[in-house]
Amino acid sequence: MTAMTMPLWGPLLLPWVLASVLAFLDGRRAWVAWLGIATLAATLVCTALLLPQAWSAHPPEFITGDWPVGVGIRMRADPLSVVYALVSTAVLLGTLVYEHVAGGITSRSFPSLVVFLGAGLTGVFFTSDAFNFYVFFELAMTSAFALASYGETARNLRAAFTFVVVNLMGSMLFLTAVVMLYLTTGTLDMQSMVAWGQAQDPYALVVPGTLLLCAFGVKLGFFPFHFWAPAVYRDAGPTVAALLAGALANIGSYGLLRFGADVMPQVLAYARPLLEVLGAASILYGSVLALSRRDTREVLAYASITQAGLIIAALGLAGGEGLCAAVALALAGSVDKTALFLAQDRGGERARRAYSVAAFSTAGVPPTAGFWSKAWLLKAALAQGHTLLAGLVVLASVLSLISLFRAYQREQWLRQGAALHRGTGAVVFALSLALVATGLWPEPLLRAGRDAIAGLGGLR
Amino acid sequence: MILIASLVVGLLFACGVRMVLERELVRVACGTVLLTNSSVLLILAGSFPERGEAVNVQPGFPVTDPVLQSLALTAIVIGFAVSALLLTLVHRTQRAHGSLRTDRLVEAELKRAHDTGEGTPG
Repeated sequence: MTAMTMPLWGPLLLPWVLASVLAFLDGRRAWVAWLGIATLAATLVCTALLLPQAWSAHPPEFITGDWPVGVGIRMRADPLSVVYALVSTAVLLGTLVYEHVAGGITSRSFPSLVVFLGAGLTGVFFTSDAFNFYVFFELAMTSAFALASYGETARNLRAAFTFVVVNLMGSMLFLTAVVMLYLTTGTLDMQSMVAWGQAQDPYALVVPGTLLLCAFGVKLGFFPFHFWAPAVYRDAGPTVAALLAGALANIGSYGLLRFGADVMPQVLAYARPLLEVLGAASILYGSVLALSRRDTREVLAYASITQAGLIIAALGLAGGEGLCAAVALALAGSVDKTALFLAQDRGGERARRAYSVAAFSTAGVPPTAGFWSKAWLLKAALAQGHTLLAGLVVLASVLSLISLFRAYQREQWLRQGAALHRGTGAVVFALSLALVATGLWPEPLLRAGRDAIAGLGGLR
Repeated sequence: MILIASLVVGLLFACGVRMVLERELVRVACGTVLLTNSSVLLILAGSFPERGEAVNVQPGFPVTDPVLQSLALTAIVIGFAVSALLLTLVHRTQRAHGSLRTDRLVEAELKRAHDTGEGTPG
């Protein structure tokens, strides 16, 4: 251990403290917005500095107040947590920069709320305690609830109301599931739950497992829990839609991976047929309805339902390959969605270019990040003889290519008024460039997927 | 005691779901408050003396599990904050639409969709 090692509490405490400071400042001023941007950038750097430690044999961890294990709250940064935290913080940073340079923030609380969302997400990804997961989850959700009404037109408020009521139900189910886990296993520490699950009869965990699937399903928005997504993504502001679809939906996929593959692998194995059916249903439903929509943002919302279906289907595959594909799909999808939502807001030639790159990645056309994640899913599906699923993945790619480019042909792009200028263009191009660069050199994405799931309870 | 608690949790949950499906925003908000409280009561019911005991307790001292009570307290605080936020949102929606009924909101939404649908070239 050198003196230069990044402490684990760095990326946790930094956004938390500065978001509280920002809450007292007027976010409409340029310097406050830049302070928020600097905070997120610093959080991103701190998280990146954790990478070498997370990949070492002993991922960094600490227990609050130096209590013994099982009494204190454990924070832990394994590769899965770090890659999710990196991608989510990067997405938040890009969106905040975009909103600021695109013409100014119109609400005094916006920078502070985005940084609080960042603090909540980092906390969710780094915690190793089920109830602490709930607390950070609620911190992120509360900031998102407040952000959903950003813009404050009647339309934004309708979106916010739908979003809050539906997600409150999800949070309540999650809380109930956490308490049931505690009552069953007698611990809130995830590592101890893994040990409990290996020693005892896992069928006792089926009810909390089902509740967790519903709760994260609401966040991620796959088939029976998707109903809020199109209305919210359509009526919330474009930047907020990018935040919700790009960063907040990561809680859903991370939670399913963490609780499903890590804490309760036996229950995940038990739920496999259900996950396959739900995944296939969301892929079909999202792709077909995306074709029928005229509003670009609704098309994108249905495309994100398809994406959620792919993640669920990947989770439903037995063995490590499916889980790796799920991680890669979630990470690539998060960047895709942000780039799409930001690019469709603008007109002109540059926005068209950025939009088409992100659309190619969503559909899985090489050389983009989306291609590799889908190729991985196809490989895993074919290796296990799920030809039907493989066919569905190809069908979904073709259909999303058609629906995203039908949206491309529409009126949006004729409007030359608000073209991407140098600042906003830089954000959207950076996101698109990241997708193409990952497509050309997929090693980091593939390795992130492989190593992230290597330490999970189910495969240990 | 557990029986009474579970009946009350079920009743609160059922009433909450029923109210969330109402057509008026204040009732929807109250419904979510009831739902949150049903889960808080569920947590508290877990710490009744019928099950479980605290960590490191000397024999002979009847102590219930304090962890669940601290969880309930945290959940109450979070639920309180979120309910306040939701009620603010109800107030703002009322000011923006001049109505608290969801069917009016749906009308406004359909009207907007219709208007933009008419106005698009191609």
